Amino acid sequence: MLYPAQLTVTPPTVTIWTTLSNYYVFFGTAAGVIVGAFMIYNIVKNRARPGREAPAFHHEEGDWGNWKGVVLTLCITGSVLAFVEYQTFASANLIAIPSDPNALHINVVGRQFSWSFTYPNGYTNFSNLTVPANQIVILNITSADVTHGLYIPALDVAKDAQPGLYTQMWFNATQTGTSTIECRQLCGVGHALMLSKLVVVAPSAYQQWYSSLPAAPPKGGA
Amino acid sequence: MYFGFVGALLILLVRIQLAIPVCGAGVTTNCWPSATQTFLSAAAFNQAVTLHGLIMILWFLSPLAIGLANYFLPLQIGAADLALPRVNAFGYWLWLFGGVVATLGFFMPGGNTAGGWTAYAPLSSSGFSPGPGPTLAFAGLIMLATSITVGSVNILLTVAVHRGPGMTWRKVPMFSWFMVFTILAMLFSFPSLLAALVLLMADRVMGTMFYAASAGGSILWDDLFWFFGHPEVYVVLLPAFGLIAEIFPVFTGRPLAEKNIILICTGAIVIPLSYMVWSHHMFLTGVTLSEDEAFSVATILISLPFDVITLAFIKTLTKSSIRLTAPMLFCIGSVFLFIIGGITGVFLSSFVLDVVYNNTYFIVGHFHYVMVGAAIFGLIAGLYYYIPKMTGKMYHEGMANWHFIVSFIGFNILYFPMFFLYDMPRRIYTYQPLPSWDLFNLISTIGAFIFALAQILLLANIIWTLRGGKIAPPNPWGATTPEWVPIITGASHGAVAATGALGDEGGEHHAHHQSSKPIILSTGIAVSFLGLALLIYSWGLAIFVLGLAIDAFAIIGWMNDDMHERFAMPKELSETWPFSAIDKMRLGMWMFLSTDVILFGAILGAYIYIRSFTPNWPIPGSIHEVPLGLANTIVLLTSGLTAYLALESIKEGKQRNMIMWLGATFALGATFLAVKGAEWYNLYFGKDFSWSTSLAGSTYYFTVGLHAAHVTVGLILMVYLIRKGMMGGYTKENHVGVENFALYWAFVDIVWVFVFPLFYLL
Repeated sequence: MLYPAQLTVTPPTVTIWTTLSNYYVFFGTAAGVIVGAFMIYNIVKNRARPGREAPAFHHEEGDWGNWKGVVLTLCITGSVLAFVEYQTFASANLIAIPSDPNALHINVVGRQFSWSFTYPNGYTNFSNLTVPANQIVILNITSADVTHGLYIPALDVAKDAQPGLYTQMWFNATQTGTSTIECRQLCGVGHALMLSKLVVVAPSAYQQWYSSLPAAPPKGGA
Repeated sequence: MYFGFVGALLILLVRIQLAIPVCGAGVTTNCWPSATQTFLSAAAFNQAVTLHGLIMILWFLSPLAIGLANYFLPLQIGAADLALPRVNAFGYWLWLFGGVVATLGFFMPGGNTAGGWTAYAPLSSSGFSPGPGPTLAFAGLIMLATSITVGSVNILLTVAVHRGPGMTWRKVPMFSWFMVFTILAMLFSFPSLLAALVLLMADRVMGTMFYAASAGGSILWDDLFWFFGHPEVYVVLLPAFGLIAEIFPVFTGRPLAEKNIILICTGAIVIPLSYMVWSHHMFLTGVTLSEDEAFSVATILISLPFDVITLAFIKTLTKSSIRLTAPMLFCIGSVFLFIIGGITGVFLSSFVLDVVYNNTYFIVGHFHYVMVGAAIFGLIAGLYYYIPKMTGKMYHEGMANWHFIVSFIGFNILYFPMFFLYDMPRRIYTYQPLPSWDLFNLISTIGAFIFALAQILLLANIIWTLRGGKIAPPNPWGATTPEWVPIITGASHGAVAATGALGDEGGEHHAHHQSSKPIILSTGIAVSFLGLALLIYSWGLAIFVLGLAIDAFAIIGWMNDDMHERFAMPKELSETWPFSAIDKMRLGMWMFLSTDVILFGAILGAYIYIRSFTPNWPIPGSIHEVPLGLANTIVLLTSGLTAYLALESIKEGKQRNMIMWLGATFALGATFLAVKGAEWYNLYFGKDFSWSTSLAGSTYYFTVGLHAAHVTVGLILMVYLIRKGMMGGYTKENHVGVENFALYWAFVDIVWVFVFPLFYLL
């Protein structure tokens, strides 16, 4: 399964993204339909056909045309664009890393062709990212070789992994279950199969699992 | 056309591959048996998508527009031919051989480049993409970028100085205007690509470490690449818009609405907006939030002028009488698809929505609506529109109408489902079964075949036209632009064909107007790049040297032709127009230098960027001999003075003085190079400071080396000038060669003024 069956509690990142996307889809579809329909209407109405006289066109507008009309359309489009852009700015908390002292920090390293996840106690897992539900998780992402792209479709979050640099990404998984972590930057032949699993468990189960981890971090692996 | 075919074939393989998922998760029918038993292997798939992108964008779309411009731009503005025919031919052959070199990569051990057309470093560096294949592909790209720079200077020059009598800027037809804007989008973006590629080549061939070892090397590539990559979208799109602006008024029977406002908007799109939005490709690379916001606003601003242009096109459909012939149908299709492509583009300006859309099929759908939908439909419209002019015959209207209908339907079946695949990463060679992905991928593949098969109708139509089409009247559409005026036809056809730039369509050749040197020169470049890529084998060096020898032969031949005036434009072509040749050459030099400024700017910018990311940079003075460098700087600056004095002498008609001062400049330039050589020898062998030992070494050798290469070119130019000067080739009135050289030499000096403190003092 790529996605958890049905979400009953929507993660905040998904809410932010979906709300914003709805604005764009609404205005985008509306604009497309209005303009497209107006265009088709004029083509059908004005098509040359037997019995229809071509309208006498007076070149009254000149090369500048109806500049007042242009200003008007600019104002209308401009205000729609300004509105959606404002919504984007208002949704920037999808990207901005929240300052939460209780956040769980995990270091992620991408390499050809797998992800590794290192916990605060030094434990590293090379296939699963296990996190507690209902807690803010902050990933510090880097790459050991080429550029990779960390993407968790179920949570609508993503960030690139760059060699030599750290990038940050946050999420809060509100429901237990498993989901997929994908690579979204072409990184070589194994790119398509560079998949990991996100495992969201209840906070108590997480605490139990975390305290049972080996004290000495396993070296190498994968 | 041939490259278009290759590109299409590659992507059909890809679509077959993606039609069905790999078996698993309970799905056992209609799927590939396992991840290793798919139609294409992962490696083959990656090569196919990469070369599809490169070939379609750079070797098919842009050249198709440039080809039309080569043919019709001179006709539209009443010029006899492009300003510099030999340079034009050189650009054409460079482009062609670049394409051949890039596709040769498929036959190399290890295959071709596979890192996507964006060739993100460090994946594209030799550590992660070893072998001669990728090197060849990047060599082909370098040739292409050079070809484009050369060609764009030429077209701009033609419009600037070769307009016919009475052709004022106000009267220049729309297609020519849009080509000018296209060129402006090329002029400053391709040098950035060139810089990125040359650094990458140095990494691959010489072992420098610009991208491989530097923290942030990947971001450096992204910045340089997208500074080229985004304007490139408009390079592809604007010629199609120019054709629409040409064709709409003809078939609606009314003038283009808001013509001047369209031009102003297009100008605003190209400069400055197209150069201000590249970072929206990099929202997820880790740039700061405020950068995201700034580039998001810049990107959304660019949709405003496009909005005005699209609405003006649609307004041209009102109060009109529309003849729905094939050119008009394809134009309408183009505008329609651009509306969809443009609106989805607004989605992508949002740095928050981009979190999900980035590198998914939503993007793939969006840019194909723009670059295939809007651009190709517009270009096909132009093709049908101009077929009567190019062949003298009418195409088959019924077949062309079906071509449009099937293409338009096939196109939408192919690309619209991609918007629903907004969570499917692009460039994955296979995927696990997922209900929401399987269906749309299958539909999309079916659409791909419909769209591809529809193009057979175009091919069939062209063949039909050539063999049995009815003779077309001189102006079958009732157009009012000058290219349809029959009186110019005869003279200019030959002139255009002689440049060879039309490929398939060019037929006649006029001997007086031809030079074999451009093709030999570009062959030499292709051969030497082949040698470079094969340096891992011992005989690679031999091929490289052979290529250089061919180049030398061609350059000497080119210069000799000039000296003996063997290549001469026929008088009636070269002297009819009001502007003298002097203006043209000087203007061309300025344009060339402006692209060179971008090249050096990009490379010096890369250097500053790398330094800011690298700790432990050597302390100034610890590596380089500052006093020696300073002395050498003075030598070079003095040579700038002598070059100026040479120019002043010839302005007063003193030929002997000019030769003397040029000789002095040559001596000083040679001294500069000799000192440089000694310095390098000392650094390399004495201090063990090589280009592959540290970033400081990589940047130093590369930048100073590039400057030294410019000095060397200057020395070669001076040999030419002195020889021609001795033959009395320059006089008080005619000394543009010397003037251009002085300009070039001043530029070389100025670059050093920047390079010296950056590398020696700081």
